[in-house]
Amino acid sequence: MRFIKDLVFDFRQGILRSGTLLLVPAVIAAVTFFDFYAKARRYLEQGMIQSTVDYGDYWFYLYGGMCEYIPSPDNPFQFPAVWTLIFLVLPFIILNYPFRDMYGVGQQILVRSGRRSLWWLSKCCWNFCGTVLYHLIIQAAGLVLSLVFEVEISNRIHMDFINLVFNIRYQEVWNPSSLPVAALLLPVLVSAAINMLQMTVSLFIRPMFGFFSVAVLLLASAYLLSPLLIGNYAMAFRYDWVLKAGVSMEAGMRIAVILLLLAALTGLVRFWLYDILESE
Amino acid sequence: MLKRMIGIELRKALKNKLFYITILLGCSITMLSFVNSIAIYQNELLMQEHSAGNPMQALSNVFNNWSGGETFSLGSSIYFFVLPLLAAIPYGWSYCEEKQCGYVRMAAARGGKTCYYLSKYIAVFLSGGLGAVIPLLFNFLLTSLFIPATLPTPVYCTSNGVFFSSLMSSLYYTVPVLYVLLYLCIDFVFCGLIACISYCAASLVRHRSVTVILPMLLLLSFHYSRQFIYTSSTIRYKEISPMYFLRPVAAAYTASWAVILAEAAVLFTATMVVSMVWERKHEIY
Repeated sequence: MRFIKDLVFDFRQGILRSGTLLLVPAVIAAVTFFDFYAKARRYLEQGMIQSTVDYGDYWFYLYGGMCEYIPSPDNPFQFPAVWTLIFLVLPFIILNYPFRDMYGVGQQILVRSGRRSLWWLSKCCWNFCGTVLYHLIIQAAGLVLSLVFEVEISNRIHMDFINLVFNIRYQEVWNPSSLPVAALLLPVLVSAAINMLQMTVSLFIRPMFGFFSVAVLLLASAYLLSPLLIGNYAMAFRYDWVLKAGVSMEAGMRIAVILLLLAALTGLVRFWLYDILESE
Repeated sequence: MLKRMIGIELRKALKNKLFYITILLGCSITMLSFVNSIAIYQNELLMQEHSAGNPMQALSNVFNNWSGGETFSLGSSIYFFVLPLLAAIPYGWSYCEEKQCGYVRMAAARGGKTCYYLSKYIAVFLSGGLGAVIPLLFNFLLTSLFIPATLPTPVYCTSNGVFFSSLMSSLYYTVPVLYVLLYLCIDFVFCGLIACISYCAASLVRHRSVTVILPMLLLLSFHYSRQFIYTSSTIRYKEISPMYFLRPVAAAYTASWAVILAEAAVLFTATMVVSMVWERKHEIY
């Protein structure tokens, strides 16, 4: 019962009353949609693509990330701006709430929740739900804009458009025509795992360094195509159904779930020993 | 009084744990680039030993192997990506903290508001600039110990990444040390201003982590806005994103003085107005 109360409180304070968590994804969706739509129209007018784009292409534009980077002096590394923005803004939005709750008035809630473990589990649930909601808002706003601008709602993707947008030159890619359901879920799951990791890391080091480590992890993932860097599983272009040398989605699901649980458990253990008074 | 206040603020800015941690973090990241450069250079030396042809000695030099001189290593990519954070972490958070603990009231009562805000601005600016530039300077000096400072030649411009239209390209191919120093100055000034965004963010937000991270997200958003500007593949645009033009070698489009100076002026004016006018007019008691 106490846990449910904590959870309801966190949902109300950390999600429903968090203007940034509700507003920022909608703004991101709107800006990226106009960018996507303008590009698609330009390519179509110039005869660079054969047909109009679908909602699936927009989804891929958001979560595609980038193709494998091959380091060489004549191929400078350029990080994927859209993908980085989507995955880095969320850790920033949810960075402060749990720690704000540990100090000042927030300590009353911690005391009233009775057990530290319940308090932490409630924060973990809030973190997960906040992440899912953030991605849902982006996709829902994208769907609404697709309806308004008469972009067909389907999971079809057009590789000619994607190859142009992602500037594919040498990489060996398959020619998929639609998005599988697993591909739609995996980036959200990876995002939840990364956010949970940040929340746990922030218990060991300062929250700003927690964010710093997430930023480094995301950039390293974009730079290096490796199954060990979790960010790769958040990039649709790195999946083995698009890129021939890509990462397995199945392995990605497993790794993301394991990381999510491991981060929550490590955080729980750490929080049992956490000296709140001294940190304040 | 201003001199004393600046002295106090500078001591606080440059003698704090976070400043040292930032320098250490920055140096560690640039070490990744250093290790990669040394490995490539040694490989080239090995290849030269086994070939009787042109040794191409001007191909590899310290100017295209240090962190700022190349755009393809992991270390260099990470460093310039987290540069706004490295600039803000040392002391960008200080005003936010001092505002909450009441130090601002005490300092303003003793030295005056103008004195306090100006000295804070100077300290934040210098700490941001130093926090970002010291690791780069360290990397350049370290790389110089292992790779010769051969004069770069335009023949190998693809290896150097500095082309005819690049910013200060003539300087790069004639006095490359001066080019590096000038670029470090640009980075110093810009990172100082980025740290000042953090200082100004404290006027709007109450959490110091937020003030430190905000400049990076602002720059990232600005970087994304390039998508709406760079729409043609035939036009040679100038780089507008600080996340790219702060790299001494172009990662996408070439940098230009007009853009750099204009953006620096806008940042300076905005941060000055917020800190010295807006914030000074606010009630602190």
